[in-house]
Amino acid sequence: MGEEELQTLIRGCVTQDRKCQKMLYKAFYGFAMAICLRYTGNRDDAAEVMNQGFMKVFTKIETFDPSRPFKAWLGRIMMNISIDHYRANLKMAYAEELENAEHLDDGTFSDSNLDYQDLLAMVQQLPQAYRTVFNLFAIDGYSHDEIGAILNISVGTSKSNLFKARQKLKQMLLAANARVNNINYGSGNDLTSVLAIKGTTIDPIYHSRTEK
Amino acid sequence: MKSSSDIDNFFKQKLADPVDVTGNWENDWSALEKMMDKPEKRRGIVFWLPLLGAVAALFVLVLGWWLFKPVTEDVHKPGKQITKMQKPQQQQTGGAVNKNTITVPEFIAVPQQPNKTLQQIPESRIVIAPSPNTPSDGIANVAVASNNGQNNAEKIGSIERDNTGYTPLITQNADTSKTLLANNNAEHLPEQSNTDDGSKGMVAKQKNAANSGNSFLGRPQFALTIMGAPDVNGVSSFSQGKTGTNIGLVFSATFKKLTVSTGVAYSYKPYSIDFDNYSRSNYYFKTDPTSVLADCRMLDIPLNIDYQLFNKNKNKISVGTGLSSYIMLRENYTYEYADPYARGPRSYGIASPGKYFFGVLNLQATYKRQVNSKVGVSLQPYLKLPLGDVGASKVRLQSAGVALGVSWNINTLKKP
Repeated sequence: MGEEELQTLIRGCVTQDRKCQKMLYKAFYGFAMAICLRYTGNRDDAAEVMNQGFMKVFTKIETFDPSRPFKAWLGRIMMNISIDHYRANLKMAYAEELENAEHLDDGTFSDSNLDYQDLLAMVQQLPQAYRTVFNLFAIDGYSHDEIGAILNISVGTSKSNLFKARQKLKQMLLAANARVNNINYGSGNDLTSVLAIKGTTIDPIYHSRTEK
Repeated sequence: MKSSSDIDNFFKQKLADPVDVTGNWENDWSALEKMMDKPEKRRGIVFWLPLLGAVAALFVLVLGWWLFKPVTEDVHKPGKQITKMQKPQQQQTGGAVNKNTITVPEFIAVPQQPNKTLQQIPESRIVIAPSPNTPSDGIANVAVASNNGQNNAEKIGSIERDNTGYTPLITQNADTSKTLLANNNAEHLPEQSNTDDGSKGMVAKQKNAANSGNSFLGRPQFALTIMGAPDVNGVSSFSQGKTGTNIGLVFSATFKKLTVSTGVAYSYKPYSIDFDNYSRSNYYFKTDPTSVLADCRMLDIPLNIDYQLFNKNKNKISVGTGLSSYIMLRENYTYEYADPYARGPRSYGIASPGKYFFGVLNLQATYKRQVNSKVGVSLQPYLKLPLGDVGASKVRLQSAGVALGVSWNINTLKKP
């Protein structure tokens, strides 16, 4: 989408033109959904959060400064609305406790077979508090001080949550690596991992093709 | 991959390149359209309650000002009477003086007539006795009675007594020149009575006048009260009221009939509201809950003023008003859905609860019984009316309850 077309859509959205809103929604649906998927546990929640974000976009679009990139503004709104969702579900933030993550081996693994869907599923498997801190720090580049202010937690809690998130992700990566090695061991199989984006479990389904 | 930054970069790179996730965009757009087309529900607001409360508060304040407006005094003209409430002097025989006048005794104001001084009344006794109809505004009559058996006491003036309600008694023997004073405001009387110098008499008079001026509010009586109060909390009405509790410490200062109090109370205020009355702020529910149950913990900091209507024996009744500030400590909201399997948040905890200064109007009536000079017990029905929205849910939270308190007088009343 060209810049001129984008500005036209934005002007249409300012006048609450439903057609322009729909086109803008479609144009940035993937971008917004990718952010919300990272911050939420499943696709349904992500869609709900994303729609709340677009609702905010459409009601506050007159405050958007056209001299600034729209995508960054939209991304910020999606992140903020995801944080709101995190706050709304604060009681569930630590629902999944980290198990056996304190003494992980620093093993190595091959990441060549892990794609976007695999890693997204891993992030979504994290407890919400860990996931949110990991997203803010590792992906979105916020400091612990900033995260503490955003989530109203201490810097120590932010660091702790990040550490535990990394440990759990490492555990998942090692587990995925181990499965690959076990299945491939002596068989020469070529693996393709398939993970449903809506999956509620991290267990991947591997389809093996035996070359004869 | 070992280091933490490796994991971060690994996920950042992979997640920065999302696969096509636009497959269901039309379904999601339909959901968004429904949200946009849904009109925002208006909350039912009872307008008259805060208005009525504000009028009542204003009325009490005006009434208090009118009843206790300052005394106009003329202290520069010796021998002239000091008029209270600007009413004309009405001298009475037999030692009775109009309760609204303070007649400066001549032995103080006019030193040129030394034969009127107390020193020249041998073996005299100064007796401050209550008038037949005990004045309610704290004016007691002062009479000087001679020890030689004369019954016609010579009137020398009147002294305003303090707010303790005790009848002051002054006794002076000419031999010892000692005076026993029960009344705080009469403490300077010995200086006056033993004065035969004009300048000293004037000073004494000015001191007395100054005391009379301070007696507009009187000597304050400070007290600490530990209170506990069950109450009912509701939004707009008490139809869905929930019972909460309060416990706190109140400091009060009593000036005659006015009591100013403040303190802090830890309050547990649960309430239930229909979802229609609940402000969702930026959060839009996919499925609307039917009701919301709130659990609020807060510090209630009141600033109240009470006016004493009745004071007899050890019983006092007062009414008052004031404002409360709520410092939220914890806000949790639990959502109840008609469909138990409905998607949506089950609860919501506010990460950083807010502060609401002077957002609540207090109306209360207090019955207090003084057990002894130090300890009293009180019973206080009260009503807390919202002047603004409170909490993250932006509700007009009101409370009604009865506070039970035990008070301790910090400065014990002096006994006669």
